[in-house]
Amino acid sequence: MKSNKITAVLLLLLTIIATGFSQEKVTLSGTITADNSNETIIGANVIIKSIPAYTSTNEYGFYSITIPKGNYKIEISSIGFQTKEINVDLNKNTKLNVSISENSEELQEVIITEKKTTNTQKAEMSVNKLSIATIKKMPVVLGEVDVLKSLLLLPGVANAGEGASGFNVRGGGADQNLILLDEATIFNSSHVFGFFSVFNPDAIKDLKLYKGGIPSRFGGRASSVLDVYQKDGNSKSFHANGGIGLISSRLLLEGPIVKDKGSFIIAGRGSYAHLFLKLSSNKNSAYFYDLNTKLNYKLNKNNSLYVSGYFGRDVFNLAGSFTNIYGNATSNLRWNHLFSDKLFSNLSFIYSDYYYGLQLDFVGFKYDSGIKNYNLKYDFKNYISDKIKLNYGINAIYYDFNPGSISPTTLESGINYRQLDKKYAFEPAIYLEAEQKITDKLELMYGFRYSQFYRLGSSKVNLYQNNEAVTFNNQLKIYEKGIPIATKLYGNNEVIKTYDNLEPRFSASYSIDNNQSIKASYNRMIQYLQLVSNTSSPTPLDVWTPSDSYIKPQIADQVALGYFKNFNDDTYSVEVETFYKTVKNRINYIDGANLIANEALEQVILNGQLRSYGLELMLRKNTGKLNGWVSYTLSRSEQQTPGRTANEIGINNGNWYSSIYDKLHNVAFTGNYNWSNKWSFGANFILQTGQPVTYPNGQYQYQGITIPSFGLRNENRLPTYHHLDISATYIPKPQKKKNWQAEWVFSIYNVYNRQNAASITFKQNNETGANEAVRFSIFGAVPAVSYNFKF
Amino acid sequence: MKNIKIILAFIGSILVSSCETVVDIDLNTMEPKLVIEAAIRWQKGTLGNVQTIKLSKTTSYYDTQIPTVSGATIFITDASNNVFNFVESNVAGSYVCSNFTPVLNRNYMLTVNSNGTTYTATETLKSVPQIDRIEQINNVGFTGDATEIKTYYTDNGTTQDYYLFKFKPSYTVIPIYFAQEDINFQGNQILGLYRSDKLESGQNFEITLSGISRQYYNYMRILISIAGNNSGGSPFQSPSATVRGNIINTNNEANYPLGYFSLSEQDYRNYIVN
Repeated sequence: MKSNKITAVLLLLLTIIATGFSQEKVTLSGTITADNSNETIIGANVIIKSIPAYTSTNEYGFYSITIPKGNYKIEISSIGFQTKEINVDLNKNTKLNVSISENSEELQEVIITEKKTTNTQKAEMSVNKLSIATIKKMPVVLGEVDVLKSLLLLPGVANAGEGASGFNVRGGGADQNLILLDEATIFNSSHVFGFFSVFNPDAIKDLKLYKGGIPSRFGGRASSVLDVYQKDGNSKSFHANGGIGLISSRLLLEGPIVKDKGSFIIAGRGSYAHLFLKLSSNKNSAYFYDLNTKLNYKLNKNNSLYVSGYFGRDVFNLAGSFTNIYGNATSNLRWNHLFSDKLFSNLSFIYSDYYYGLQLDFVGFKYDSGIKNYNLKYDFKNYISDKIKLNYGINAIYYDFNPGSISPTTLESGINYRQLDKKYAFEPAIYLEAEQKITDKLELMYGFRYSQFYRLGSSKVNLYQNNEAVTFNNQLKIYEKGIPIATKLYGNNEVIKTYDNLEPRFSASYSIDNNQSIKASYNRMIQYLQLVSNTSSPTPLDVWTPSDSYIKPQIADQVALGYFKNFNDDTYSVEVETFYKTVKNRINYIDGANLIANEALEQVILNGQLRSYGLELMLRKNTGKLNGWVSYTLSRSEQQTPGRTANEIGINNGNWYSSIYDKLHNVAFTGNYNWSNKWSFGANFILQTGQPVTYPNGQYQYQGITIPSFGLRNENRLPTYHHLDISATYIPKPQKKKNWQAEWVFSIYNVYNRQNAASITFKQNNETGANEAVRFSIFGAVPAVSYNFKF
Repeated sequence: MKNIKIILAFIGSILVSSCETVVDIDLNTMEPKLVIEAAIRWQKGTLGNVQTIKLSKTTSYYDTQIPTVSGATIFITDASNNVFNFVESNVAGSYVCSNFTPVLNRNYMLTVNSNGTTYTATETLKSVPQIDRIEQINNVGFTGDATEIKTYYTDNGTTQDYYLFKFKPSYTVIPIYFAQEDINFQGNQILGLYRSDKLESGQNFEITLSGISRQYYNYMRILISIAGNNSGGSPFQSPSATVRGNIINTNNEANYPLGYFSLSEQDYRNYIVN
């Protein structure tokens, strides 16, 4: 362990803090909250125009800024809230907690006055924020408000299509996204194999997607970070809200534990299609549910405690003969402590797991797998002056992987019990990052993350001739599973393999004037966990596996350059970014690899690489009756798995080829029109180049069946994917601000009934035996209605 | 993946208007390649001396005729230097041997000489246990109108074994293949499952169980995964693969033939659906 190193860094930092003090300056700090609920606001801006100086609140609503003594007008603003101005006479360090009001027309007009211009001054780039209010207005399939699907409207974000889980950021895999819910890792973000996301929109406060320029406090995934925060709950009064939809219904309760000091929130969501099946005496059932909870309590002005949890499951049961259950669970305990008005800290202990279970009674087979992790984080934010802020901390994660256990379900079953070798790993990291204002025009964010990875016992590790777990059959030119020559046993917590990496992070912004800037960033990200998946989008069955002696961590490097401008009095924003990203040690699989319940994954894995590059454009209209954005992404994503020696052919003859995330063109539009205070209308349009696929270039007969023959990988494309969706929101009594308030959302997904291809399969007709191409499409035009309420 | 298909189809049926449509897709056609179908099958209780090898070529995907290859010289030699000649019959591209001698676990070598090019392969004749019993269960599946046929056999507990099931119900022209390895049921009685809502009383249901080699198991797994009827139809598709068998072009390694040289003992039942 590098605890000495950590101590040294912390000591160094404390020295900086001590010397950072300046006599003439005073510190203004506090918390920004919503006045109707005391809910803390993330990313609220605190601006002092006369200096000029600004800061924004952190994930816990805290801000701190150190400025010369004086009399100031302080402006506080945030998305969805009315801007507030306060006069402060600052002659000593001052605590200023501010509560601001949501835009007056709560359910209805949040969008109209919402302030969401691009922050041109901050060094942060390649970041997209979406407010829940915006997401809720978007038309969605079957009326299910979906946090993840709304991300697909952003530049640089795509996915494999309808019904596909996960999302791809800048040509990266879905497994390369770090998805955090209240800081806890979510390993599978989808319900029902990708139709819906695991996030209950009612319980979500804020979300932020980092596509590049990723801050050093994040690590562990190669492509992006999706940082989702749950609401804290209303500590002023008791409220409830919910919705009734075609697929699921939601109910959220929140209220004070101790007024103005502590609150709770509990939100549940469940689907109920199976209830109708039950009514029709059908023995099958299929449903999902999730539960979000959070408690917070303010011990005193310097200490707050948070406890939050998530539990979600999908359940399928086909007449008792087939049972499939899977889902995530997370819980965490956080302690916010203010060491001083300049030093904010948060200590978190987080547990999260993912479970997958499958039972096939007709063959007497039961399969369980999962991953658990225990995560300890201690993060500091040190507001040294109005020019410099330091973020630093430590993080340690212990992983416990269950790659699978197989057991018989009945006495007569022929299945033998088998527990696949469990895997353990430990991933500690430290980070340090400075946000520094060099001049009025130049802002930098720079730092590093130093991470280590220990693959731990107990474990039985296979040893191979020449250390090659995959062998190349030179005569047949095919890759084959290696045959272990011996096995080595490692005891409890014995180190099997160690990796360590320094991950530099850097971003800079240069303001051309108050409204436009140029930004550049570089980040290195290390991913020590691999999702073992060989399909076009992840499935719930896919298992996570740690880096070990054979499977190396993915190393991603990304550079990005951007231009940002607000114009017409901040009515419009334009964002242009280009990026180039490479990922080393991207795993690929030998032909015919069996990935499920495979105890020796190293025998089917080859190391390859991934590269992607592109241009992203986004034009946004921020205010007015009509608002929304248009985005366009032109990009490439390619992969290569060369032979390890000159004799070997690699995959696809060792050539670069389109990865399945390659979408040359990606156009998205989302708009909302507020027609009156009763009616508003929304529309989404998405158009993407079809997913790369491999079509047959011939056929032959073998053993009485027709076999398609294939050439090089991913040389063809599915037809272009596009759909237009519309929605209308109706509020019967917009004036009503108390008691029962309601709204209706009507929507049509895929208005012109485009039959987008989820896949095209080449197969023989069962009756005639003739070959044909069969398109499988999931959604035609889907109308939906849902009813939302709150009181 | 099959299970996911079931679930997906199920979700599809309750939630949405998911559908399968035959579409026109323009396809390229590669240079024709030689295909050698040299599957030696020895049915339990027979002499196994009549065997057939077929030669054909790849062709455009939508063609209804498969071009055959005539005029080749084909023979198999065994470890005792016995030579078994395969002579082209009156069915073009079909070469027959009537004096083949199968011996379990013996190594054999195939030689094919066609158009001046020599192709060779070696393989071992694998044994198979007998089919113990066949069980039929009616009214299963999501809609309750599917029929299940379970074919039981007992694995040899002392060896690592690989099996290939071929199911051929009379309602369709296309057989279904299913490859199994004994890793999860070493030494136990285990089953191969076929389920369909198209099975009806009185239909024939042919079952063939063959013992296969590890390498042939790997080959068949890929083959099954890319032959559309055995896979596909869901967004969770595995990448397509070029299936390379065990036959080598001794003149030009890069221009390899398709197909496989396999030798299996097999057990066969013709089951009448109740």
